[in-house]
Amino acid sequence: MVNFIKLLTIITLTSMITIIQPQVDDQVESFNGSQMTMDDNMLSSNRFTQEDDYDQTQIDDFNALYQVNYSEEERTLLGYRYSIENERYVLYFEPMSFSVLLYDKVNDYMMSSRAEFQGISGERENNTATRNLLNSGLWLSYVRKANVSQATETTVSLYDLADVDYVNNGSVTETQTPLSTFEIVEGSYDERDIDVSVLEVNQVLIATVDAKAIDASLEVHLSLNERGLEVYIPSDKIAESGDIYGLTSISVFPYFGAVRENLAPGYMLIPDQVGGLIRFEKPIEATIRALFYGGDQGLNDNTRAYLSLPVVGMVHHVNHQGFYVSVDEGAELSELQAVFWSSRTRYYRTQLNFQLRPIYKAIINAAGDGRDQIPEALTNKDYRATYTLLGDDANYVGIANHYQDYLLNEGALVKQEVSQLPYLLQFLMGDQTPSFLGTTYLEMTSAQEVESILTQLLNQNVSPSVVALLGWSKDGVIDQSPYRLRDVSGLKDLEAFMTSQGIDVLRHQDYVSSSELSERIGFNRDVALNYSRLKMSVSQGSLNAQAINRYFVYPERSLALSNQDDLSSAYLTSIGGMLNSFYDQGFYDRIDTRMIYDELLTSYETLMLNQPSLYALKYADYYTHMPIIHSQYYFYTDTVPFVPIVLSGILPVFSSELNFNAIGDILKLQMLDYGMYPNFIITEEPTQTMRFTRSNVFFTTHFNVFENEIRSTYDQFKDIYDAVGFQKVISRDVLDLGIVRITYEDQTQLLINYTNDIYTIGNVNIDALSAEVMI
Amino acid sequence: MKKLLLIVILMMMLPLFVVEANGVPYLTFTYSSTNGRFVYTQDAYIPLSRKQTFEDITLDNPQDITFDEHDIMYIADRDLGIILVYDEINQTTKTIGEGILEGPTGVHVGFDGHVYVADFITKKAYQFAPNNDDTYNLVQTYEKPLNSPFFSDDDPFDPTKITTDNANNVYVLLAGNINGLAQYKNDGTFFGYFGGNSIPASWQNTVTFLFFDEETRRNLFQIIPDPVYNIATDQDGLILTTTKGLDGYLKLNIANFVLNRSVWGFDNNEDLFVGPYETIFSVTSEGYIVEYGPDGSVLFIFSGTDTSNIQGLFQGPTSIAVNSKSQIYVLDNQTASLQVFVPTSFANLVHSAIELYQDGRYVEALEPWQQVLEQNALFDLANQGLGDAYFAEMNYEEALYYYEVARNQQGYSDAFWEVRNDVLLNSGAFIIVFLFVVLLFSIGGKYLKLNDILLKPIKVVNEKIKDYPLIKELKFGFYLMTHPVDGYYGIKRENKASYLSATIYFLLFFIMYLIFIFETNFLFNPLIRSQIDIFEQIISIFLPYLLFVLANYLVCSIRDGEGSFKDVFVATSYSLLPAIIGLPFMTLISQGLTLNEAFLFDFGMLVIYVLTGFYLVMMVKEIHYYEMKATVGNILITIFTAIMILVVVFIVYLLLGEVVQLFLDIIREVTVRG
Repeated sequence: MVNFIKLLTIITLTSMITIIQPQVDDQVESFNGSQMTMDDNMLSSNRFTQEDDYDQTQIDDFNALYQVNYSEEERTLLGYRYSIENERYVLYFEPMSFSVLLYDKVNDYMMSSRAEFQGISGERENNTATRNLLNSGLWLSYVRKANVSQATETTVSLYDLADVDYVNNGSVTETQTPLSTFEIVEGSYDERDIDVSVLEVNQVLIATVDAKAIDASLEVHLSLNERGLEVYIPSDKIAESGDIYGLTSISVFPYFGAVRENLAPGYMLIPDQVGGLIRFEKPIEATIRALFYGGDQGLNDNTRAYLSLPVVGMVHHVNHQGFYVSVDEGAELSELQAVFWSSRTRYYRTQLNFQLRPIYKAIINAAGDGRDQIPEALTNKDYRATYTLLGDDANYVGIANHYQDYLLNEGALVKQEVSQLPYLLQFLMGDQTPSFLGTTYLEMTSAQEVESILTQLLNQNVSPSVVALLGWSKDGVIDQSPYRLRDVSGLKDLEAFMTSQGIDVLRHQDYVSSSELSERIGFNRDVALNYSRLKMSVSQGSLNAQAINRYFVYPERSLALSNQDDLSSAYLTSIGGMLNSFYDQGFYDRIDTRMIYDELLTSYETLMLNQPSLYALKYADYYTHMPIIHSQYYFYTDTVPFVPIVLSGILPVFSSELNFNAIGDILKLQMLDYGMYPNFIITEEPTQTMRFTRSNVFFTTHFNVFENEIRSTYDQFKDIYDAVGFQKVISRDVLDLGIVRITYEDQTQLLINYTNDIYTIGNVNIDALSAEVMI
Repeated sequence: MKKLLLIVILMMMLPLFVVEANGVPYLTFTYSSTNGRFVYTQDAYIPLSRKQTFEDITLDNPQDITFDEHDIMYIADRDLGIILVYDEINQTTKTIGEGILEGPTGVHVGFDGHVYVADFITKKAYQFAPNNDDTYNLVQTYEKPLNSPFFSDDDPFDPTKITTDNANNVYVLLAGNINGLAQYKNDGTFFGYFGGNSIPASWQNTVTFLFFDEETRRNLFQIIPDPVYNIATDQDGLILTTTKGLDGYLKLNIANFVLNRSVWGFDNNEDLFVGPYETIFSVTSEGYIVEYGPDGSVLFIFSGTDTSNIQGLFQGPTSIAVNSKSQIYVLDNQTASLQVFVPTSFANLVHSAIELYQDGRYVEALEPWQQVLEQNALFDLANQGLGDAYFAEMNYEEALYYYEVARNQQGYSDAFWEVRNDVLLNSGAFIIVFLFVVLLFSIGGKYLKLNDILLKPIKVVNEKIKDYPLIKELKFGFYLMTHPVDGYYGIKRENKASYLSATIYFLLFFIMYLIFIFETNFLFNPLIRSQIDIFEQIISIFLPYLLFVLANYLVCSIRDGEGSFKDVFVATSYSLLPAIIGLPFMTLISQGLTLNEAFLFDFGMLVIYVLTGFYLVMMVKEIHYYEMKATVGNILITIFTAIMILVVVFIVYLLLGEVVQLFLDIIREVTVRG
C-alpha cells in the first residue's frame, strides 16, 4: 500500500510539473536591423558635402571691395616691371620681392602672390618680419651646416635677405592704405645680400636669384601656357657657394591667392584621401603639413593626410573665381602646407615647399641618440608647378575636370575601356594558422569552390568583372607578403576558367611591404635602410596583441622579386600608395624610388592597385579601397569626391570591402554619389574557421552570409550603371541638405537622397535613402 | 590587468588589410574569448562633429557632461563658472549657477529632475530646481560636515563629482578622499561614506597587515585604498565607481557591496556613464572609449589619442555621456570641445539584441544575435546570447557549440550536463547489455580460459622483448613506484636504469604534458589551444628540469651526497612516472565531466602533484642517502641554487649584450661620422 501511495505521489507530481511548465512563446517577432539615424546633425557634418549658400552680403562685399585690381600706375608704383602675355593671361612680375600679378583676361580678374588687403581691420597688425614674408613671393629655407637641426631651420623671404625698410616700418597701422602697406624705403633693399636679375627669353622670364647673404643662388623660370602660370626651377641651377649654410627647401608664391579671414565666399580644396573642403568661415588654430603621395618612412615622416594627387585649390567665389595649383614635376619631394586664418595669421593660404635636401637624424647608437644632419648634395630633381585661374568652373568639380584633362593629355592617366559594371570579388583562399609546431596553411576556399561560387553567381546573372585571389600561395596572406609561388591546388585551372568567362583574375601580391613573418624576405638583404641608416622596420602593435615588425623592402629588391614572379596581372598593395626614400651606399630620394617602381609597374598587363597616388595611376586598370572621407581633421567643413571625379570615366574605382559596412544604405549611396563600385571579400568556409589566423581581421566573409547581399548590391548598382554608364562627372550640386545631384558628361543626372524623407524635384519623387537617375 | 599596448593606427601608411569601410579614424575592437584577445569588429560609432561654441558661449575648461530624460545636455565648465544647458533639438542655450558657482567640475540630473553640481572652488555641492520659466533656483547646498567624526578641521573637502540614487540621496566625490563618496540625505544631512575602495589583498599587504598596526601601514608603507576617481548612476539608481590605477569599473548595490564589475578595463578611466540599454560607457585619459555590456563584458573599444587634430580622437578627455539615441558625447578640456559620436547600424543591432537579452527574452533575441554574428563571427556576447537562446529552447547541442565559442564555462557545463544526461538515458539499454556481456565474458572466461586466448599475443610479444635491456629499464619504473627505496637504490647501485631510459621517461612526460594542455576540456583548462607556444612550453618544462638536476647534483656533491650526475638525472626522470600515467588519464576524464563534478578532476590532479612530489623527495633522500631533515634542506638549497644559476646566466647574457652593443655603436658612430 505504502509503495502504491509513493508511486501515485510520483505520478501526480510529474504530471503537475508537466502541466505548470512555462509555455515558451513561439510567436517570435520578426526582427529588422536598425538603420543609422540620418538627421540634420549628420547631414550637416563634414562627412557630407554642404550647400554653397553664402550670404549675399558677403558675396556683394567680396565683389565690390575685395578684388585685386591694380591700375597700370599702381602696378608701376609697386614695382611690377616685367610682363608676359598669352591668349588667356597676362603676368606682371616684380623681381625685388619676387611677386606676380596674374590677370585672367577671359574672366576679368586678377590674383596676386602677395597677401592683399593688409591693414583693413582697422587695427595694427603684423611686424616687419611678418610683412617681409607676406610681401615676398620667394622663400628659402636653410640651416647652418655646423648646427643642423629641425628647430633651427630658418625660412627667409627675399625681403628678409634684403633687409628692407617699409615706409611705415613695423606694424601695418590703421591709417595705411592697402597699397602703401607694400611701399618700401627707396634704397633700403640691400643688393649686397640679394640680387634678382631677370632675362626674358621667348616669353619666359628667367629670374636668377643670388642670395648672397646665405651663399646660395638659383633660377626660377616663369612662363604662361594655356593652363596658366608655370613655375619651373631647374635643379642644375641651384648652387651653394659656401660652407656655412645649407639650403633645405624653396617655396614659390606662398601667398598666391591668399584669402583674408572670411572675406571670400569660397573654400580651400585639399585632395586628402577622397577630398576635403575648408570653407572660409572662422579661425582655425591648426595647419596641415603633408608630403604629396603620403609619408616617407625613409625620413620617419608619418603624415596623417594622404594627398594622392599633387594639386590644391582655392575657390574665392564659388563658380566665379578661384585657382588651383598642380605640381607637375617634383611632387615626390614637395610638401603642401595649408595655413588658415588663426590667432597667428589673418590669411588662408596654400604653400608648396620643394625639398632640396631633407634634414634627417644621424643615429649613432642603439638608444637612438644622434644629431640632425643633411646630405652633402642638393637634389638633382627639377620642380615645376602650374597656377591655373578658374571662372565658371571655380569649384572642386571644375578643378577635377581641368586636372583630369591635363593628366590625360600628359599621359599620366590612361582611359580604361569599361564594358560592364565594374564589380570586384575577392576570394580569401586560405592563410597560415597556428599548429602544434609553428603554423600551417588553412584552406578557406579551394580553387574548385571559387569556381563553384562564381558559377553560382553567374547563373544568378551576377557577373563580377574582376576577381582578386588572396591566399593563393600556401604562404598565406596577412603579413606573409611577398608570397612565394606555392600555388594552391587547381589554381591554374581556376584562372583559365575565369579568363574564359571574361573575368580579370588577379593574384594578390605585395613587393614593398613585408613583415618578420614572411618566408621570402631576408632582413639583412631585403629590408631597406632609412636615411638614419636604420632598417625600415615599424613595430605595429594593437589592442589585439598581435604586435609585429613590419618591414619596407629596398625598391631594387621589390623589382627583382616582381621580375622573378613574372606575373602578367596582379592586385598589388603598398606600391603606389607608399613612397619612401632610402639609403643604400648613398641617399636615394622618393623620385629615385618612384623610377624603380615605374619599371616594376610597367611589366604588368592588368593591375589593380590599392589607393595609388598619381604616379602609379597610369599603370592601373582598377583602383581599389577608395576612402569615403578625408583624413578627418576637425576643421574640414565638407567631404567632396574630388579624387573619384578626377578618375571618373577614366579608371574604375572600387570601395573598401562592403562586408565591413556598418552604416548600411548610407555607404552604398555615398558610393553611387562618388562613382565607386562594390567590393566584397568572401570565403567558402565560415569565418569562424579562420579565427586563429591573422586573417581574422576579416571578421565576416562567409559566402552563405553574403550571397544575397552580393546579388542585391549587384542589381542596385547595375540599374544605375545601365542608365549612367562609365562617364566623366561634370557637375555635382548639393540641392538641399542631404540631396545631391551629379551630372555626367552626356547630361544624365543622378539624384541621391541621403535623408529619411521623400524628396521631390520637378515631378519626380525620390524615396528616402535612395538614388534616382534622371535622363 | 596590465595596460595593453597602444593602438598604432597606420591606416594610411599601411593601407593593406585594414578594415576601413566606414570612414572612421580608428579601429574598433571587441573581446573574443575564443581567441583570448581583442579582435576587430564592425565600427560601432562614427565621429560626427566637434563643437566648441553653443550660441554665444564658448567652452573654456569643460569638466563634466550629463543628459536629462529629455536629452537636454548639461555641461560643467570650471573656468566659465557655470553649468551650460543646451537643447540640441531647438539649439537653445541656458546657464545655471551664474554668480553662485565658481569652479563647477561635476554635474548630474537626479531622478527628481533637479540639477546637482559639485564645485571645486567653493568647496560645496549644490542642488538647483527648475522653475516653470526655464530658470533654476538653488534649493540646497551640501557642505563639509561640522563636528563630524568623519572630518577633522584639517581634512580637505574638495568636491569634484556628484550623483544621486533613486531615493535622491546625494553622493559627492571628494578629490583624493580614500574613504569613498560623501553621502548626504537630500536635505543636506551628511550620514557617512559610501563606495570606498578596499586595500588589495596582495601578499605584501597581507604580510604587512600581520606585523604592523594601521597607522604604521598607512604612514610607513602607504598602504591605503585608492581614492575613487569618478562615479555614475544606472537606471536603477545603483552607483558605479571607477578608480585610477584599478581596472574598469565597479557597480555597487545599496548595501555598499560590489554587485557587478567589468570583466576587463583600462586603469585610467576619466569618466563613466550608463547608457539607455544599461550598457556602460567609459573614456580613458588616453581617449579610448569602451562600451560594456550590462554584465560587464566588453562590447566595443574605439577612438584613442589625438596628435593631429583629428575628429573622433582626443587630447584630454574629461567626461562622457550618452543620450537616449545612444549618441555619445565626450568633453575634451585640452581642445575645449565636445565631440559627438553616432551609433552605426551595427551598434543599433547589438543594442536591440541586448535589450531583449536583458529582459530575459532569449528566444526573441535569437535572430538579432544571429544577425550580429553574421557581421562578426567572433562577437562574444552574440555567441553567449545564442548559447542562452538555444539553451532556453532546450537545443542543448547547439547551445554547447556557442558556449564553447564564447568560452562560457558555466553555460557549457550546464548544456553538457543536459546532453550527457540525454546520452546516458538513451544509452541505458546499451550500457546494461554491454555490462552483461562483460560479466558474461569474465565469468565464462574463467571456464573457457578466454584470457589466455585473448592475451596470448601480448604474452608472446612480452616474451620476445622482455630480455632487452631497455625494456627492463623502462619496466623498472613501475617497480620503483611500488618500492621507492629499493628502486632508487637500484638506480644508484645496480644500474637498473640508463640515460636512454631516463630520457625516454622525460620525453614521455613532456608528451603527456602537451596532450594534457592541448586536449583537456576547456572547463578545466584555462589555456587557449591556438595561443599555446610550443617553444615556450619546451622552455617551461625543460629548463626547470635541467636546472633542478644540475643544481641538485652540484649541491649534493659538496654536501656529502652519494648520487652522481647520472643518478640524479635518471632518478628525477623516473620520479615523473605518476604524472606520465596521470595526466592523460585526467585529460580523458575531463571530457566527460561538468563543473558539478569538478572536485573529481581537482582531486585527481592533487594526487598527481602529491605523488610526483613524494617521489622527488624520496629520490633526493635515497639517491644521496640523506636523513629526512637533510633531504628537505637539500631540496631548498637546490631550488635556491637553481634560481642563482638562472640569475647569473641572465646577468652574463645582459653584460655580453652590452659589450656587443658597445662595439656595434662604435662601428655605427664611425660609419655615420665618417
